[in-house]
Amino acid sequence: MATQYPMDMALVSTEPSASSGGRTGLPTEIANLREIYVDYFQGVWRNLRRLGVADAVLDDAVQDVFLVVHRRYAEFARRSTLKTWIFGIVLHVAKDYRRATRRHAARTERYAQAVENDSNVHGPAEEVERREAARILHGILEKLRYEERAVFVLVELEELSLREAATACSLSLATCQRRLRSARIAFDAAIKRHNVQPHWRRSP
Amino acid sequence: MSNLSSEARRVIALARHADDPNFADQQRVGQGLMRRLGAGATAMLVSVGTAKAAAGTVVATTLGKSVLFVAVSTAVALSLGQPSSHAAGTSLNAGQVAYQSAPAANVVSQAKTSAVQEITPSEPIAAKTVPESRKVSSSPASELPQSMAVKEVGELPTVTPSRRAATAQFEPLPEVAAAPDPNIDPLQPETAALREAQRALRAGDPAAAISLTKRQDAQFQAGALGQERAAVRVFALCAIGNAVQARKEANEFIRRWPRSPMLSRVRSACDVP
Repeated sequence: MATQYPMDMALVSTEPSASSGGRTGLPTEIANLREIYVDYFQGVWRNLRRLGVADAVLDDAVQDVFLVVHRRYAEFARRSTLKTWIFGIVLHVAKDYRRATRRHAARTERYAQAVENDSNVHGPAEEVERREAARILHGILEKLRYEERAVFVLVELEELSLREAATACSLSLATCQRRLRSARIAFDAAIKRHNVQPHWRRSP
Repeated sequence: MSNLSSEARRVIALARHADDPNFADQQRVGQGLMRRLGAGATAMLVSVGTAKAAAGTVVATTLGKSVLFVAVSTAVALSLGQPSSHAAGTSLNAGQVAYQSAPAANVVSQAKTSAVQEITPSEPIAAKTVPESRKVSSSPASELPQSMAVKEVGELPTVTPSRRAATAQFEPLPEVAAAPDPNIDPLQPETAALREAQRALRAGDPAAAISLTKRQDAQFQAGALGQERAAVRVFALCAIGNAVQARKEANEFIRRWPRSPMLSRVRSACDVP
């Protein structure tokens, strides 16, 4: 089950004003980056990975997301939910890192190799199957266009609604839907191609 | 809703948690984030505290659009626990030392620039390039600073995308005369004093806040927190209704720190809501 995010978690405290009735000039709100970090770290991390950010720079990319959150919160203005706003940042940071590092293909190879090696180690069959599925998933995601991948990741993996994904991607609902449909078709086709290969073990 | 095949859905279901981080990831990244928040500020405020009783609490005082974090914690970034093996013993204080002067013997500085994409106005966010400075000391976890004050990163030096590979450009801090004692943070008294003024303001005693900041200006003439004190004083002047003086000091603030992250808040401090 995907982590449940607060739809629009309170970013500001309700700490009482320093002076009653008067304007202190000092806002009573406290933008609590720590709380945001605790609530959203997992989602930011896993979606940066799903979007192809290299493991070698993943820490930096995650931090960049929260730095942007920290710096730009004043501009957030609740035009969207915090969740979609943060995922919007994730999409941009991921895209930037992919472009900057140009390692996404290599990452997939390394990831696949690591999984392959791990798969050779004895372990619970379910765990081996999950790792294999992850390897397949990453391999297919890597072949999708980034714009389609982003929508696919948000809707199919992160389980955002189509409307939320559209907001996060700054797309119209129709465009978002079109990209999702296209991504699904590509994903399905890739799965079908993959299934003819012998090393994909189907569960009974 | 999904028109994916059952096999595709099965793969997704199996792999849905493949990319989840573990707790150590959360700790490590959180520590790095706090380092970057601190290292990127023009006047990084890092102090070594001793009050273990205060561990885990965070006092954040918002100054305008920016946020001055005064984190009284176990110095584990974002209060996320002990350091992991990836960043064992990361010391903000040590980072400050490296930031101020030549790299200390126990500091490994790997400054680099990491870019956050500039985003078009039509998009929901607009990030600016931020520098990253990683400073890892060999200090054991027990020597981690226990309180820290981190200024908002609004004044980060920026680099153009083509210069991403360049080394981070830090605004130099005043040179220290000698290698600082890692156990003594020169900013600690000034940080504590500023905190006192902020508390006074938040407690509804702006007159005390004004008095304290004036006294601290004299005490810490070459201090690193003059900007923060000036902002507090502007807010306090507004709070007591001395708009004329507040605007005067706000104008001086704008002149001295035109790129301050507190600028807009200071500028509008006495505006009628």
